[in-house]
Amino acid sequence: MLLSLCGLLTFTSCMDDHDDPNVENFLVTSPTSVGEVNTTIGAIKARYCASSEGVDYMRTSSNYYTKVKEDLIIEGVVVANDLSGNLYQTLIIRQLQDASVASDGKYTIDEYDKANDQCIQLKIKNTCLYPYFALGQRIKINLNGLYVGIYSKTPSIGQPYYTSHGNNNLGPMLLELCKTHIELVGKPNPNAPELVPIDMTGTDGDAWLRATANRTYENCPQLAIVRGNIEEMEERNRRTADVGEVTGQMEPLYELVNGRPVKATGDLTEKEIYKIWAPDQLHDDGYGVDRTLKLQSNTSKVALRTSTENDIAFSLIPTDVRSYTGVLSYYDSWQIQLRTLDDISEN
Amino acid sequence: MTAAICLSAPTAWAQVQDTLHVEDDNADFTFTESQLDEDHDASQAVSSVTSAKADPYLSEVGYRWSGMRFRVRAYENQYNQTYMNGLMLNDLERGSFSYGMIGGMNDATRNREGVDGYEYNTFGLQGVGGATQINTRASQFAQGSKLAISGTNRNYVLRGMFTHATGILPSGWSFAGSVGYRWAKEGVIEGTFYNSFSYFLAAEKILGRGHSLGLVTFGTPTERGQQGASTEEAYWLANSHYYNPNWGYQNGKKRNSRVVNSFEPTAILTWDWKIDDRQKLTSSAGFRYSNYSSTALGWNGDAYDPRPDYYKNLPSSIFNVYDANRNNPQEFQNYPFLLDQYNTLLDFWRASKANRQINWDRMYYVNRQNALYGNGEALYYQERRHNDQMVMALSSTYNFNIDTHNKVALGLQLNHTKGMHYKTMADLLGGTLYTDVDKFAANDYGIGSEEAQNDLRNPNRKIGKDDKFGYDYNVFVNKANLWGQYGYTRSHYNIFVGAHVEGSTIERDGLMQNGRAPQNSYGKSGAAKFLGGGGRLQFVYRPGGYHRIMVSAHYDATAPLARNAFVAPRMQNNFVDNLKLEKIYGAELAYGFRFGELTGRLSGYYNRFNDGVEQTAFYNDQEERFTYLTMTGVEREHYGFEGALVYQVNSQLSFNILANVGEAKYVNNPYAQVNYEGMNAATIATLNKWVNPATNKDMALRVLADGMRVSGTPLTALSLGVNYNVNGWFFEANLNYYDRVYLDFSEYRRLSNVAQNYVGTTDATTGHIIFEPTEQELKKNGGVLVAPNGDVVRTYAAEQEKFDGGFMLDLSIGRYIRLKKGKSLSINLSLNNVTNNTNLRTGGYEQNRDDFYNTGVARSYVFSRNPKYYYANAFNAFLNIGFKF
Repeated sequence: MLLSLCGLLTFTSCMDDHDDPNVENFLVTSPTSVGEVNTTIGAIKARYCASSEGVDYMRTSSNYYTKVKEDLIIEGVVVANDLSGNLYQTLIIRQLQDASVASDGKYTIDEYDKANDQCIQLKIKNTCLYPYFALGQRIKINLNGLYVGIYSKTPSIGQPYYTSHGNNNLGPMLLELCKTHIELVGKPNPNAPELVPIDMTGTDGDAWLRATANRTYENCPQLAIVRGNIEEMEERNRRTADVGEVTGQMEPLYELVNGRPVKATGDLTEKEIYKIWAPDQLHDDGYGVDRTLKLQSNTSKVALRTSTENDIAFSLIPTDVRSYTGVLSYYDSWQIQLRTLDDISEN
Repeated sequence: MTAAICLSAPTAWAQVQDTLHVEDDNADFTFTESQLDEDHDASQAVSSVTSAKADPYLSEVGYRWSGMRFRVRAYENQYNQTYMNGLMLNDLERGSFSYGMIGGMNDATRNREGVDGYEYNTFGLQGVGGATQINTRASQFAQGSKLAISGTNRNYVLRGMFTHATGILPSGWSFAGSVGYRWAKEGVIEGTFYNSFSYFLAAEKILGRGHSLGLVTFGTPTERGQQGASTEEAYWLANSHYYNPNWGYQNGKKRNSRVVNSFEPTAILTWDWKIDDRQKLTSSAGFRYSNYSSTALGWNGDAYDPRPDYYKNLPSSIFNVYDANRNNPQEFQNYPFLLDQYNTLLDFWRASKANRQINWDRMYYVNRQNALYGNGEALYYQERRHNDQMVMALSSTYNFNIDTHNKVALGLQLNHTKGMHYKTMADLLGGTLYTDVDKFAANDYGIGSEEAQNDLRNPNRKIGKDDKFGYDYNVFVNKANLWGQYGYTRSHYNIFVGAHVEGSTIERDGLMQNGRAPQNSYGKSGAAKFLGGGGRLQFVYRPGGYHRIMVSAHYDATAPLARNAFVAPRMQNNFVDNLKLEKIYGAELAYGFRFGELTGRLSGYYNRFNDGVEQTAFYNDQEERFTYLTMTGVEREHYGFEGALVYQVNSQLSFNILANVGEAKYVNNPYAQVNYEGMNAATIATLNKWVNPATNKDMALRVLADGMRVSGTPLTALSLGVNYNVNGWFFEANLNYYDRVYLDFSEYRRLSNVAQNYVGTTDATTGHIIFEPTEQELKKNGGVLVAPNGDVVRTYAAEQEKFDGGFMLDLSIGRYIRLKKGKSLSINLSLNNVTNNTNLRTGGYEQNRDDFYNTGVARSYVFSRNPKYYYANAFNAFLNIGFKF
C-alpha cells in the first residue's frame, strides 16, 4: 500500500509538464511580404515631415502628422533600439543608398550626404522591442494606414495617442499592426554598414554641429558619434548638486568606497565626487535628464539625454573627454541619446 | 444536546440520514478556485460548509448557497474552527481551516458535530462563527465498504472514492481507510485542470478500562490549474463570463500559469479515556507538514507585461469610452485614428482564442533572443511561491456531566506552528541565466546598488530551476489556550457559561538579508506577545412544547493573525504599527419553535469587531511594484436576521424557507501602513505621509473605509425549497435569490493621501465653510473635506459597487435502493443553476491604480470603471453513485 501511495503521489505531479516550444520561426512581424520597396526614407520625410502645411493634424509646429493612404514601402536597418531601456518604445531605422561609404567601418562627417543617408524614428507600443528588432536587422515597412510626421521635431512613424498631458501626439503604433505592416528581411547583421555612426568627433564634426543650417528634419535623427567632456563633471561643478525643476529635490552625489559608488557624505571638498547620468531627482516632464556635452574645438554644446530607471541612468558620468555614440536629434539644441553603456568609449 | 432541542430534521429525512447525504457527498466541490488575493485560493478562505445538523438554518445554508460563496454572517473563515478527534485544525498563521486538506474523503469525514457560536459543546470553546468537530476514530465507522463514483462538470469531472471499515473486531482493534481520486484534464473553466489523490487511514485499539488509543493519518496531494478574474470588457471580448486569463497555448497544448501544488499530510494520535459514565478525558497529539505552493509568471522591469488582459491590450485603453466628450461620432470624425486603434485591438481579441490568452511562445522567444542580443538574463520566468508549514499540536479535553443539571467541560490546547515562506524558480522559460536581484529596486537605485540585492549575504546569486530566490523567511506562532464551559440545565431553561484565556507569540526569522532593509531583515524579529481571552453566556428558555428562546452574548480578545502582523514579511522583520488584540463583542436573540408541522428558527444577531488588522498584498500597477497595505484599528459591524421555516405537509412532502438579511460593514477609517517592495525605508516613509493640505502638518495615514461593505458574500439570501420522497425516490428543488453582494474595494485608492483632499473656503456672509465638489461627486469619487484651519470636517469613501441580484434554481433527484444482504445503492443527480444564469457575480476586486497621471490629466483607461469579477458557475450537474457492501 505504501508503494502504491508513493506511486500515486508521483502521479499527481504530472499534469503540468510541458516541453519547450520551438520558437525559431516566431514572429511578431508579417510572415509574408508586405510589398516591394517603392520609396525611400528620405522621400517619405520630404513628403510628410518637411513642413506642417497640408498635414492631417497639427498640434504645434513641432508636432504634426498625416495618415498614409497608399502602399508606400520603405526599407532600412535597425540601428538603435531599447536594449538598455534608454530609448522607450523606439527604433531608429536607417537607410544608406550607397553603403560603401561606411563599409570599412569608418564614416566621417565629410563623407556624410543627406541624400544618401537617412534615418527615421519608428515607434512601436511595447516596452521591450529589441528581442524582435535586434541591431543590424533589416526591415520593410508598409506605411499604408500608419501615420508619419514630426514628434518633438523628430521625424517619426507611428500612430497618434493621448499623452499624459492630454495631447494628441504622434506616438507608438500598436504592436498588433507589426503583423501586417512590418517584414523582417534576413537575420540581424552585426556588421551592417548602417551600424557605423557618422563620426563627428573632430573639428569638422564640431563645426557641423555648430552650423544652424544643419538643424533640419533631413539631418534628424542620425546615428552619430560625438566627443567632448560633460560640463557637470568639470572640477568647478562636480561638487554642486543640481536641483530638479519638476521634483524640487537635489541630486545625489557619489564617492567611491572600495571601488563602489556610495552616496557622498560629510565634507566634499577633498573628495573625488561623481554624479550619475539620470538621477530621478532631476527628471523633467519626459522622465529624462539632460547633461551637457561640451565640444572640444568650439563652444557649442550637445545635450546628452538619458531616461531615468535604466542601466545607463545609474552609471557614473566620466570626468574626462570621451566619445559618445547614439541617436542624434535636434530640439532646442542638438541632443544625443546613448543606446547602451557600450556607446561610451575613450577614443 | 437533549431531544427537546432537536427541532430541525423533518421525519422524512430521518429515513435517509444514513443514505443519500447529498450535501456531504457534494460538499468539497462547491468551492470555486482562486478568488481572493494572490497566494490563496477559495478552499482556504470560505467557510460555507457547516455541520450543525440540528439547526434548520445552519444545516442548510452552507451547501444550498455555496454557489454564491455565501459566508454565514459574512464572517471570514478564521472565526470558526474545525476540529478532528479533539484537535483543532485551523491554521494559526491564517486563522482559517483548509478544506482542501480533507478533499476527496467525504465518506471518511462524514461523522460531524457542529455548533453555532454560543452553544455548549464538548470539544472546545468555539469562535463567533461556530465550530465543527469531525470524528474519524476507526471505531466510529460502521463495518462495511462503500464505493462512490461521480461525474460532474465543475472543477473536476470524475471522482472515485473507496472506503472500508472493519468495525470493532473481537481483538478490540478497528481499522478504516479511504482512498479517492478527483480528476479533470480540463475543468468547467477553460485552462484549468485537476489532479488530486486522497488517502485516509485510521486504526484504533480499545485497551480496556475505558481506554482507547487511535491513530489517523490523511492527506490529499493535489495539483490544479487556477482560474483568474478579469474585467467586464475582457469577458465581453471573449464572449464569456468564464474567460480565464491564466492560460495560453504552448506547443498547441494548454498551459496554465497559476498552478497550485498542495499536500498536507496529517497524523493525529488520540487517547480516549472514559473514566466513568459521567467523565471523559480526550487527549490528542497532532503533527502536520504542509506543502503548499502556487506558480505565477514573473518578468523583469522592461519586459512587456505578459498578462493577456493587461489594460494596454484592451480597446478601452485607446480613449476614454466612458467620457461622452471622447466617445461620440463627432470626435471619431475629427480623430478617426482613435476608433481605428480601438477596432484593431477589438479585432485582434476576437480573431482567435490564442490572441486573448498568454503567449507562451513569445516569452520563450524573448528569453532566447535576450540570450543572443541582450544581457542574457531570463526576462520572463515562472516562479513558485511556497507557503509550507510544520505544525505540532496538543489538546486535552475533560468532560464531566456532574449530574442531570450540571456539566462542565475543560480543555487545554497547545500549538506550535512554523510557517516557511519562500519562492523557487519553477521554469526559466527557455532562459539560461537569472540573477537574484530585485528588478524594481534596480530601477530605483541601480543594478549595482545594495538596495537591489535580495540577499546581501549572497549577492548576485545565479539562480537555476528549483533554486530559492527573492525571499526566504519563517514565521513562528505559538499558542496556548485554556478554556472552560459550564452548563446548568433545568426543565425550562439552560444556562451556559464559557470562558477562555489564551497566550500567543508571533515571530519572524529572516533567512535572507534584504538590501532594502539590511538592518532588520535577517535573523529574528523578536516575539510579539499577546494575552487574550473572552467569555460567552447563553440563556435558553423553554416555556413548553417545542419552543425555546435563546439570549446570548459574548466577548473575545484575540491575537492578530500572523499573516497580517508584519509590514512586508517578504522583505523585513518589522511588525505592523498599532498591533493589538482584536476585540469582538456580540449578542444574539433567537427563537426556535414547532407549531404542529411547522418548525423553524428565527434569530437576530449583532457583532462588533474592534482593533482588527487586515492586510492586502498586491502588484501595484501605479507604482509598478509589489505592495503591502495594512489597516489597523479596523472597526466593523455585522448584524442581521436569519430565519428557517420547515413545513412538513406529510411524511413525503415538505416545504422550507431560508432567509438571511444582514449587514456587514466597516464603521471607521482605519490607520494605514503601506510598504512597497523595491523601496528603502526613507522612500517608503515619504509615501506614507499624509500632509494636511491646509496646515502642511503630517497626519496619520488612513484608509477611507467608513461605510464600505464586507465583500464577496450575498448579504441578502433567500431560498424557497421543496422536498418530496416516494418509494425510495427523493426530489428536491430550491429557488434561491441573492442580492447585495459587494465588490472588494481597493484600500489603496481610498488612502487619505491618494483620495482628493479639498480645503474649504469660509463664506464671508454666513461663516459656513464651502467646498467645491458636490455631495454627489464626493459620494461617488470619495474625498476628504478639510476646513481652512486644518480640521478634517468629513471624509467620503469612494462608492463601492453593489452587484445586481438574481435567481438561481437548483434541483436534485435521487434514488435509494436496498439490496440483499445489507447492501445498498444510492444514485443522486444534482442540477445547479438550472436556468443557466451566467450573470451572477460572486465577487471581485477593484484595480489598485489611479485614473490620473501624475500630471493630473485623466488616463484614457479608467481603472475605477474596470474592476475584475468572478461569476457563479453556469448550469452544472453532479451525478453520484454510491454502492455500500
